[in-house]
Amino acid sequence: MDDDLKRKIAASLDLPEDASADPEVVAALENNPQAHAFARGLYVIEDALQNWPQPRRTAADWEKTASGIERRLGEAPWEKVAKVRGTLQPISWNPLESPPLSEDESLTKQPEQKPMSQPRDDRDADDDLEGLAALTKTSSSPTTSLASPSRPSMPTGPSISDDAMDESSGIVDIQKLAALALKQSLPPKANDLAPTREETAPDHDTALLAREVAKSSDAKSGDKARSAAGAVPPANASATPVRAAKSEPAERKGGAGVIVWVVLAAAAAGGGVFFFMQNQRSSSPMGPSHDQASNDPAPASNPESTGPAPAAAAPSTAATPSPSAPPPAAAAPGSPDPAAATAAAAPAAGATTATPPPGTVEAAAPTGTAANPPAAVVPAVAAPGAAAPAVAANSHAPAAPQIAPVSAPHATRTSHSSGSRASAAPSAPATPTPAPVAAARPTPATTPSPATATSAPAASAGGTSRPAGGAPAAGSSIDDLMARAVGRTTPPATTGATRTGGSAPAAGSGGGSSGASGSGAAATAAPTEIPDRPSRSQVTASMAPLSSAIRACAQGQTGMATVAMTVASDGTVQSASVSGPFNAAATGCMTGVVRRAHFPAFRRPTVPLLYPFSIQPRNGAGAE
Amino acid sequence: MTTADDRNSLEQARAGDRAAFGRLVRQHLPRIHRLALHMSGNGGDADDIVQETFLRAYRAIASFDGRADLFTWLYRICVNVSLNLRRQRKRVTADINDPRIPEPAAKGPGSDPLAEAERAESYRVLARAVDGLSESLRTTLLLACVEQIPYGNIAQVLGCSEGTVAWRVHEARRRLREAIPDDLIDQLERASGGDSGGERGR
Repeated sequence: MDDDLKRKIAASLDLPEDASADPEVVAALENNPQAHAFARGLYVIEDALQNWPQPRRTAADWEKTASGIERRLGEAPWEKVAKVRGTLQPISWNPLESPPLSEDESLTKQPEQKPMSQPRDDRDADDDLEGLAALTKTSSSPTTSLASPSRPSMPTGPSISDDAMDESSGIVDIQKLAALALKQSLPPKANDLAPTREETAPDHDTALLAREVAKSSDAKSGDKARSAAGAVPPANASATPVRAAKSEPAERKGGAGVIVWVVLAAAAAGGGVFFFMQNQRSSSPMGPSHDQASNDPAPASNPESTGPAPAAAAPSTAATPSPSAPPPAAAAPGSPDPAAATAAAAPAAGATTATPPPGTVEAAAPTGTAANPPAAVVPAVAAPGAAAPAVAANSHAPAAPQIAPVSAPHATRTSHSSGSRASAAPSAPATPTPAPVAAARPTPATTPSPATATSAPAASAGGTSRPAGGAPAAGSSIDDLMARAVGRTTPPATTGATRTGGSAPAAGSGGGSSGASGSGAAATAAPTEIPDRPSRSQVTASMAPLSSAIRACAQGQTGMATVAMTVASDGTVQSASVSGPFNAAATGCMTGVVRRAHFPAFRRPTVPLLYPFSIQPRNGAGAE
Repeated sequence: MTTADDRNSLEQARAGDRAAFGRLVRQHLPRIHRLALHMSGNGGDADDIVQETFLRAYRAIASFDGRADLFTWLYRICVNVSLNLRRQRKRVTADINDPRIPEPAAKGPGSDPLAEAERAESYRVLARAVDGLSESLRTTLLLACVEQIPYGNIAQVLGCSEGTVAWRVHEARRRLREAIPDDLIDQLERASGGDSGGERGR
């Protein structure tokens, strides 16, 4: 039986009794049992529809509803929203106009699909993720492209953002990223802390760098650079200065420093107090030098120019105010510390973005030139001197590569500004994505004052020793320290230095971007605290306050009202239904109450919940 | 049909007389509520829809010129509010206590529990089949078959031609018939034939 015949049979129901039916239909009904059964079914359905029983409602119920409507008359002005379930929902057309129904089903479905698809929102979200991926993606760091022809590319450590990134889409899974960041922030195993070849054995690259630095030192920066180079033996350039700066054994510094700085980075707020206390302590010779170095981006770059060794020493020393100094220092050379790189990058960025003052430029220029040689190191070296050495020393460091891309651009620009770093420039372009990020960050950076720049070298020169730092540089006030501790980027150099000094893990979490945001590590770790789904206690806490309203809805009826609802990740109730021995009015009322529940946010897109309300008679008077 | 009393109440309501509008509410409340109930399939939503329908009617009562019947105007508002709510919800979840399903009659000497259960199940199947129709077919079918409004008035409510209304009704019937198996047709016949609970549709 075809649809056309079925439709004709269906249409015959509308014919007046005295009208003659379609002969085709009549013939089909007489000869075709299927058509006859179909017609019979149609009549039955029509009869059922016309006699559809309605729920029992008493006159009092109707009166109550009518009274409720009367009370609300004129309650609100005309608006294009409908108050449903206590919430205003936008009405997308004038209810006085014809309903937006189309004859064609496909057309009818169009408006329904609009809210479901939400293309814009999705696209926006993707864009955001892609942006994040651009900020954190380091796998495309200029490792390969930057590799100098004379040397195989420096091994790039794994990046947490790479791990969390979906290779097909290039989108970083934020939750995964956070989990990885947290994992990486844990203290390394003892084995991992053992000095590696790069740390202990003389590093050819470092030596090259040191030599380059020595060569490149010109009239202005030459003295400082030489002093820095001299302070650090070229052979063990990266490790030596750092260790010199530390007062503790290298092995212990490597591990303890990382741990300390991981903790500090995770607790951004605690860091503020920490630095404040450090500053108080820094009445000791340590304080000023740190402040000085950290405040000024120029110094960072300058020491780096001196050579990897001094550079590393400089940032670490500078970055680490008093007690914190040792750990970072240790971390920088020995342990793979992204922070170091980040810190280095930060100052570099600052110098780059802000038209570098004479002093800064001078300092940066030589640095770049000096750092130029080792291609692999280039990205890090290019930016701030400090970073470069750190990376060189810890080529195996996982975090270092992350930051590299970010800092690379800076380095490039810095080099441009100085004009001497032409070779570094090519490396930077390799990572185009991070560049804008880094640039954006440092922009607000304090334009390094010449004075700071000058003092920087001093610090770097004496970088090996804490007290080496000269007079406290501008920005070493408590306010500045506090601002830095809470991640304010006002003094970018400071931020970078501070990071470099200690919070390796923090830097690792987000490369340049994370470095800029003072609470990078904390921010990364925060999402991990969001539970996968609301706990039992949270559900109870959210639902318990509704019990009185639920009881009120029962209107004297008793029994178990079981609420089945779907909760969205933001804690709002998406859908809810109530079952139990209650009439429709009570059930509807309860459903409305339950929809107003709000739960703490959680990770899963949605979570189905069942929550029973036991409504018991209380002393024979009403429901409980 | 707009009776003389209706017209009188309407005029008074236009003048801002809430009591007059209240009379109109009480007069049309059951049928509007029935439509809202079938449109939403949820008792709570139906109450909200009814309230919103009358509130909007009151706010726009001045724009009602009286050429059409008041109830068609109210139906139009009710349909719009129902559709809006349904689309806002995106997904219509079947209410466990679907108010459209007839409740078993109170136990009595003549009550047959099996028949009551069968009846409820028949209407549950029918309600599910109606829910499976598209918006246009379902709305038109409800107005035509459940509310039994003449096609001409449905055309006014929905803002389409009578032919369109007829086509939708025929198509909806055909789809309903195809959605309900033959064995349930027998059951539905028994269910609709009995009168064991609830009020009749009209």
